[in-house]
Amino acid sequence: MKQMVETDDRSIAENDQGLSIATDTNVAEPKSISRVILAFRYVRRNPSLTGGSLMLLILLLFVVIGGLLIDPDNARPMANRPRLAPSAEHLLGTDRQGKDVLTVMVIGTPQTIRIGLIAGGIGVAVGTILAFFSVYYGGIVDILVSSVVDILRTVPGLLVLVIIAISVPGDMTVDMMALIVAALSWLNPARILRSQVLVMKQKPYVEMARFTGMSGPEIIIKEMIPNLMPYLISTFVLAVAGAILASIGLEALGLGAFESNTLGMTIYWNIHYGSLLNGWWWWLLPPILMIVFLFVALFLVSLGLDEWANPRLRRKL
Amino acid sequence: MTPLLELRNVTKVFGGRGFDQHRVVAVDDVTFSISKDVPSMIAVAGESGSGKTTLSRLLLGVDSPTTGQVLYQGKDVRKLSRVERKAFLRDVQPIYQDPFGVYNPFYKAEHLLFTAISKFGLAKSRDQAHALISEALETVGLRPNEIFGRFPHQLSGGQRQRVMIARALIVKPRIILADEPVSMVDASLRATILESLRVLNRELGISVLYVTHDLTTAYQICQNILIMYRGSVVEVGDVDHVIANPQHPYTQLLVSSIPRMRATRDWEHDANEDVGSTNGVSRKSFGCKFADRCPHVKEQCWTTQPPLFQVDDNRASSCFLHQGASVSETNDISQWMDSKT
Amino acid sequence: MTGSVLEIKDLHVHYETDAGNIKAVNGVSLNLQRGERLALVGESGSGKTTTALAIMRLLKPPAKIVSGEILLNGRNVLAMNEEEMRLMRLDKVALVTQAAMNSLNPVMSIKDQLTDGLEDHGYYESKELRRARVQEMLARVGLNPEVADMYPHQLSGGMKQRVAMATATALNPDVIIADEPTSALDVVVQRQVMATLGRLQRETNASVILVGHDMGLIAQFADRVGVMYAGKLVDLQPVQHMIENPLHPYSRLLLESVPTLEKKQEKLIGIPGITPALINLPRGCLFRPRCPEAMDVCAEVEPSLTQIYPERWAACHLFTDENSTQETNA
Repeated sequence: MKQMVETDDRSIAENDQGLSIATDTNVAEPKSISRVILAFRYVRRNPSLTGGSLMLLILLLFVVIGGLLIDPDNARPMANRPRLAPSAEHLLGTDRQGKDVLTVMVIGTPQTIRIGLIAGGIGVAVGTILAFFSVYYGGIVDILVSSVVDILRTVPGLLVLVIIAISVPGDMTVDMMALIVAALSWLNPARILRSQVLVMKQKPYVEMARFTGMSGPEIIIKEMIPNLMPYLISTFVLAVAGAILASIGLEALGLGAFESNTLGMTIYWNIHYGSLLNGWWWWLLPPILMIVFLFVALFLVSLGLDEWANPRLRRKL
Repeated sequence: MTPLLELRNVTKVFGGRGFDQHRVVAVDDVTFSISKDVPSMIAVAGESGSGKTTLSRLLLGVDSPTTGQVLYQGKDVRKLSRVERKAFLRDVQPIYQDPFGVYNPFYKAEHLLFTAISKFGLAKSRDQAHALISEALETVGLRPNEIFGRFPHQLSGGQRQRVMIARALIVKPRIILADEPVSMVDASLRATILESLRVLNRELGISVLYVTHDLTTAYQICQNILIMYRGSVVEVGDVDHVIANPQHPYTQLLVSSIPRMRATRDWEHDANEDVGSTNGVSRKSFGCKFADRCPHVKEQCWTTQPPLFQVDDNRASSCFLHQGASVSETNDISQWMDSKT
Repeated sequence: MTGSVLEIKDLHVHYETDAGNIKAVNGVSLNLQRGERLALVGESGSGKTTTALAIMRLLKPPAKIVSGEILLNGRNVLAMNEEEMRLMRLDKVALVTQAAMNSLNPVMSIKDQLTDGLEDHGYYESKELRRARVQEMLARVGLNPEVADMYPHQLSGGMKQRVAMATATALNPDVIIADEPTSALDVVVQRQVMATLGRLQRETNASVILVGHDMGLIAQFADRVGVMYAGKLVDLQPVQHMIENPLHPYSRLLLESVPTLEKKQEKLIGIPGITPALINLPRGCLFRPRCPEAMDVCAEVEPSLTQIYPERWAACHLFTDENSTQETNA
């Protein structure tokens, strides 16, 4: 195909005086940098995200390193003398049942987090599918799904979960707990993601994709989901936090998995044996502090992600 | 010969159902056909609210008419078979006003081009696609190494818009519907981009429907023009005549309102400041839509909608000032469009 | 009364970003006379809007005014504190932007919005007086009295823009900065709104800085035109001279690229090349890569804005050989 419109610098070179002009055109912006580096730079600028991520990293180290150092048998009832205050042998002392508190924390924390991850994951997955389903079909389908979601959100969650937990036959396990909590964890994600998908549907590049002959599912997967990533991750983090909270609630009420050492179960035993009145602070404080630490970390991360997703919230540089 | 695209008595109404009180007739009974033999450059001009954007969206098949039909090669676009739809998508391509929104911010700019190539089966390998894209970019005056690998926000508005034209070049549609393609682009680049549209028309035989509010650029690059006001076509014909000698009072108002660089400086002083969107008269018109702003309004105008009167060989105007002139049977406005290239 | 109501001296504004300092305004100097209409023309990245906003110190971080002086009636705006600046805005210098019509508070009636700013400037009036003042403001911009009790959504774009102008001129400022005030409006409404602005200017003898890119509009409205490129003023002339005889190659090319209604052009020509990224400014003239008249000296020395003919200034080496007047203040 012959040249129809002159390339920019070539037409400059062909001027009246025949002067050869340097062909260095000014570039619009420096060459593209890898996405990972860009992401890294951004995280640095976002204190909430940085702070939260660091905290989660510390937690991870605690669990991993702790896992290598402890002896899991120490977390079994009657493994040690009970009610011992912290000492060199038992850094956080032992509880009423004779379990080494530090071991319990190292084992129990990942169990709690696991509940959050499973329930949060299911919640976001179901919520996303519902969101796309609802927006794609629109009309009556959308109204129906939105109404169901909105109504269910008004029902007291803990109550529903308690009823479900009681009705489940057999002994409770950590995974069962995750599934029970997942029963409600999709509500918020569905609502949040629906609005995002609705907005995205109007974007010109989605319409453009249609003009390229892309089918609905193709557009969803290739064009829309990548741009939903910030919201998906942020919603996931919130769902994890919500799921952990719900599970702790259930466990504290005595509906948890008794064989496990989750943070919620530890709280339950603390209440059951009246550790506050008995002054066993070394047993009461660790789970509480760990829960606080975990939630602050998750909250900071979600705050940071919010800022990433919504550039208008970005602090002025 | 079946025309490429056709609007038959198309009316598009927004709102007015259920709780939505605000009913707007965006396009009011327009019949228009675009031939496939002679590549034309037609301008659809009007102000915001005139319905020009809706008209192009109807032709693209993005919006459906409330009444009437939109036809591609004689078939209703809503009822196309899979194969026909693929052909339609390929033959009719848009260029949008906002050169940024059409790019998916997650991907590099070339994603749009590669996707088009793969979906329309225009290359057999990635290398071949790359070569095709490079060629198209160079044709519109861009340097491939300045475009490849960059994200949309790293390119200037003019570059982005030219990439969109390159995309149209690759897909080789029969008609491009360009909605205000240069209004968000810098002045010095507008000329280049519009010129490339003109070249696409002359050299590749691609028809262009240029939707704009800027009569000056419409005058420069198009042969025919139709002026829309509140959903109706008020004047249509050869662009030289319409601009130099506008017949419809609305067109006259438009042309006289354009500030000219090299003219006597009376633009400001002769302006009638108090003529706002209503002439101070709050009478509702059931006839001509321009009645409440028209300096030549007669009683008839308020009650009856004027048809398109043939004013001369290649011109029609829908105004009772021309009463007595002939009216055609169909109101297909393309009959007044000059079809010489 | 003649005399400069506004003097900008060697203004430099940078945007401090991660990628580096974007030098948006690189040494702009100009004088605005009382009652004068000056247009600032340029494309995106030229620095015209940044300059206009700097006058009112409305720039937000990451923008930073690095150096220079802005004298409004002799007082240095850049040296004022927040309180003094606040009092100056609306009273001495006012702004009408393209977005003004969308910045009206949707839940406040027009009359309340018109008088909103007055209280901050110490005008506490009785209900009757306020009503009368509102009527006066509306009449001034050609709006009917009924508009006072309406809400923004009831008004058309042109009417809203006129409300914005009424607010801006309420205290008869010395300088009105209009940044693309009619870009979002229809050509018919544009003419009316600009006519209103023009009349307001004549009645109050205010000076107007019109920032825009529509050469036709500027040709009809402005007295003097300043063309900006990459943060510098490159050409500054009375409007008729600029249209007939642009000095700087960029202004010439810009004018040539503007389509006209007079006759059909064989070919539409734009300006090849792209505007420079303003982060690492190269040596010499910033327009050199795109300039058809570029000479060797252009790569080495940056031309400064010099008076070539009386009242006609350009920043270009094409003229410095011919003319020896080396004044550097417009």
